[in-house]
Amino acid sequence: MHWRRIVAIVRKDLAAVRRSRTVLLPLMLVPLVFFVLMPVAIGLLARFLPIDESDAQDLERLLRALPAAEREHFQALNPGQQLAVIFFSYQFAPLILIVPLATTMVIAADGIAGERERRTLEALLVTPVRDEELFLGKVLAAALPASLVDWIGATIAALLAIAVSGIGPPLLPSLSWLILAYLGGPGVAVFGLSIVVLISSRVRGMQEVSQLSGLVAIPLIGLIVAQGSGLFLLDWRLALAGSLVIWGIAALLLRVGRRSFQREALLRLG
Amino acid sequence: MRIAPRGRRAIGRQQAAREDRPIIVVSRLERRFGEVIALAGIDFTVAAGEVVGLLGHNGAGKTTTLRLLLGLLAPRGGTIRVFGMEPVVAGEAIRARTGVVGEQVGLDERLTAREILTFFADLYDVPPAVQRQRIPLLLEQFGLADVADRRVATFSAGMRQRLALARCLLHDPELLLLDEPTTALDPVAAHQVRELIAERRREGRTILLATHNLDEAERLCDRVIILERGRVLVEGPPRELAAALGVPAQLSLEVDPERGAEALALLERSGAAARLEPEPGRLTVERVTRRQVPELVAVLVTGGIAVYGVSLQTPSLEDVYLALHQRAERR
Repeated sequence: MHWRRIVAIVRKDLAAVRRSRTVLLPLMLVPLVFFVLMPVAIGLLARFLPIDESDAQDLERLLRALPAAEREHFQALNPGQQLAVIFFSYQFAPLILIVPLATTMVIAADGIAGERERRTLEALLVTPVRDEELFLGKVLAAALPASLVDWIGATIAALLAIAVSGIGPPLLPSLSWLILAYLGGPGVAVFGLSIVVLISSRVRGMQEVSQLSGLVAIPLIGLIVAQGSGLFLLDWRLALAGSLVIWGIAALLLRVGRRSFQREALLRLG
Repeated sequence: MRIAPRGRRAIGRQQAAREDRPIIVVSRLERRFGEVIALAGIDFTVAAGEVVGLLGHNGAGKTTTLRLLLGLLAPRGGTIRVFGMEPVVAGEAIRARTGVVGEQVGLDERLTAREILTFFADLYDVPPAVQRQRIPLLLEQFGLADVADRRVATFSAGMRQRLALARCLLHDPELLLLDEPTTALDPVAAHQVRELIAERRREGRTILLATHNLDEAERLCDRVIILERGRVLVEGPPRELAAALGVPAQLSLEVDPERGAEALALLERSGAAARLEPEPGRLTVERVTRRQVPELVAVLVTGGIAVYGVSLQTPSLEDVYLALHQRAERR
């Protein structure tokens, strides 16, 4: 394995992404929404949202879904603060996973399917770079920035939410939120990336890859809906188990993706 | 069919090594894509320092051959050796010693010329110290030094092709595989690119040039291989192909200006397809083989007509190609 080749691929893909407005725009907008606007809105909710009788009942129902130990921390909070914590730390917590997912998918689609669409792939294939080096370069070019955006963005989101709401740990952010943000986020990034690799080895264009890979966000939406309906709330055990499962699936899909990432197959589609 | 060269022009010390050291040896090479036969058992060799043209129209098998030589595709039959190695097994080592310009230039328009060269230099494992010397040199040689830090999106087609050629020389390769390097270029840009290839030829590099531009092949190549539907129709030095294949040439004659009509009658009587040119005393005879020239001159001389000039216009590679194509169609 020649690391200089791999680093060159990562550097080149990121340089190209930085100069592409169509790629860069979603990469800036999505974190802005989920790591800045959402925590600020939830923080303001804690301060200014009036809670009536029926809201209080809904709140009670949501709190009952939490383990008793975690529920105890809520006693010191007023209903507005309780709702803000439920929203930020539990109910909308899976939404932060959209950031690494979107980031990795946009970069990977540009770096793999986009390479083919721009007809630049064959120029890479005629170099001595090995299939596994090209694959690893493309994977790192997408997964590293996605993980960095996730970690830095999550830290900013947590600090903003604390500053605006006036609530701090262990409620805001909760342990489950921290697990999702710092462990689940990179896992989701690798998962999304492996999906793009698999789709890219079957379709030609970036647009097709983006459309198909958008379906990956559906389970996250399902998770939010399930929590909203009071079915369960993501406590730290569920968050940890979920993150590890995602990492497992991602690793498995990545192995399958690596096998489909063969020169001849890439050339056939190109 | 193989036409042996009658005598080769010397192009440096590599010439001597040509026959001894084949760089490419292809034997009974076959490749299919589903039901489509791309290559149906072709054989050829390319010696060190030789410039060989791979000719044929679209779908003849040129690009497939180049991809097989690089180990990008696996053959379905036959053998290939490049630098004595099998591309499917030693593709990486072969690609490390080969420079390639594909049908598509394959340049990311968002990057600058310098960034592209640096990126590919890293992929070819060119040490940083060598890169620092070679990249500015190549940019200079290929007329891109002034635009080195401009994005490729702003480049003309000719500039892009020059950059692609510079890229393929980054690692100082022994072998160049060029696939239609002047297609889609305007005549001026195509001329510039041909000049750059000619320079590489003078440097003594081995070049396999896939093209359907016959004029280009005739000017640049020591030998051409004409492919038709995945088969080698003929191979040999471009200038000798016509004679060897009996492709007719055109004969220009200059006779006594007063007796042009008489000369024409004599030639026609002998069965030649002759015509008088507007200039007095000038005649042209179509479809003449080299062997017929003395016979036609004799017809005139024995008829008492003074012959002042005889010139046989050798058929171009294009004439050869068209003749071969027509023969193949008839079969």
